[in-house]
Amino acid sequence: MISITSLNYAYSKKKKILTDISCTLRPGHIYGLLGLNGEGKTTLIKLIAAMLLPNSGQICYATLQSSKRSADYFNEVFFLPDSSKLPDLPIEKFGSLYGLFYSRYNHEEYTDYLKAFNIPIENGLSALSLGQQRKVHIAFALACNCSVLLMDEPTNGLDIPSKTIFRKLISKSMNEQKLYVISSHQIRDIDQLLDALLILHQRKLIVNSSLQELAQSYKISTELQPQEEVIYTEHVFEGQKHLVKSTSNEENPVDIEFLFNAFTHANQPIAL
Amino acid sequence: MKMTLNYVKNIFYSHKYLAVSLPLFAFIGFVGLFIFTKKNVLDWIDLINTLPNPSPKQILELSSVSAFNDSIALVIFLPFIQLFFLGKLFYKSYEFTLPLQAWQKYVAYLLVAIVVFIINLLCIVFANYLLEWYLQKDYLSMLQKAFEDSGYIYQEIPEYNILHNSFVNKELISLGSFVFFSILPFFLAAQLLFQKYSFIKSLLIAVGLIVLGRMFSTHVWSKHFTYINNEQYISMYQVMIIIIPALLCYIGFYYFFKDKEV
Repeated sequence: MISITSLNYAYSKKKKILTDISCTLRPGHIYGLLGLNGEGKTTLIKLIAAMLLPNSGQICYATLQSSKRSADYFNEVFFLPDSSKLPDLPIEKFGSLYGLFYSRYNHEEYTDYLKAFNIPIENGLSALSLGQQRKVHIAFALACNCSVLLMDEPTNGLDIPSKTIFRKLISKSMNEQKLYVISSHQIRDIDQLLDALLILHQRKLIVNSSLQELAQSYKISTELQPQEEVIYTEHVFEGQKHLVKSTSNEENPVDIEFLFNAFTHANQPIAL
Repeated sequence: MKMTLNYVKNIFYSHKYLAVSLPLFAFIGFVGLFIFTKKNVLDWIDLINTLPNPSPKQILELSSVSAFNDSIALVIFLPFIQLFFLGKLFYKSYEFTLPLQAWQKYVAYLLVAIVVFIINLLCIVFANYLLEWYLQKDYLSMLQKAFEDSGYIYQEIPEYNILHNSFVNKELISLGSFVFFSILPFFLAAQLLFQKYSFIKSLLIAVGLIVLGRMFSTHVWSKHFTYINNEQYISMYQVMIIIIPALLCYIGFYYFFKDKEV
């Protein structure tokens, strides 16, 4: 479990990025981290990965503080950046050499994931394109079996079939002990995987909810009923699309893109 | 320590080109610097080999050529060229987030620097021996005969001569190591703090510190050392003025590295 308490981060006094972020990320969930450009998604992920240090507040995995940058913390939290430029090593050797440092690294899984991505394992990493290096990095990230996997734009550079394979591997590797956070602008690539949403807007974390909660609380409607309270309206090709408060406890279909627009563009902040 | 050594192994495995580039740079640097600073030796060899009967005076010119002590520059500076890749390791996410403590990574970087320094040193030492062997093989007896022919029966070729070139190796090991490890922390700090032009910036920092040191030495120390009775203090200050900033920088680098944001 990752717990973030009163987190503040700024690159300079004038350039504040995150203000007073507090939340708890629980294992067994795949969180989608969404936000407009420059809202601090990568910054938040890097803070959790301990690559950046909070100005104030703290981030903990169990009792391990990110700011201590201990080997134990890095053993639990893996960061997959938005681009992968790996060292000049044979593909299999990369796994065995770097996997040595992760206590739950599984080399068999690494080679299986590579096979799933159709990566010729006998090649060297320098012979691979950036997209293929990305696949190797994803395979390695999954095979490390860290409790927390932070992915920044993981589908960057992946071709269409590989995006499908990526989704399959994420589902296959997920279990109740793991927690994945995926930050992406390509929401269609990952929306089937997510079961919780984190939305950053104007330096604040405005949404931290499971998709189930959101599906029970809100409904997307094209034809308004008289008693329905409209929260947000978007003009679409077919006419108008409204986000309304759900009156029943039924689970309504969720459109993450529309929800994101609603939360970030609504005139009044939406109360969860 | 096992993890640290594993990390050292990883670093060398990912930079296998060092096995070729280290001796290659050392020998190219050695030949280049020799041509640049000891051209008179090459001219002498050329002259001796082209003249059918060189005079003893012409032969004895070699006895006045000192050993190739400039090769110390190669011992000190070539390893830094090889160690540029360390700066990239500080910024790569998969290296940065490896489950190792900051001190373990720091020790690993120092071990890598030590190995690179030693291999380069051995190459230069070997090249100095090779040069001595070549000159002695072809010209030592010729020179000894020229001494005799000139009537210098009791005069020997000076110790610090190019024909006894391996004599400089002692200096390369002691002074070379001292200077290299004094500059190393500044180089590492510059690599960590400046992603661009780190070598130039580290040189500027080193030059700035030398200028400050010299200023301190001439304006503060030189005027007042007569108040100190202990001779050892007077001779030690020249060494301490280098060792103390270097040690502070070794310690400072660790904390910079520990709290570096990427």
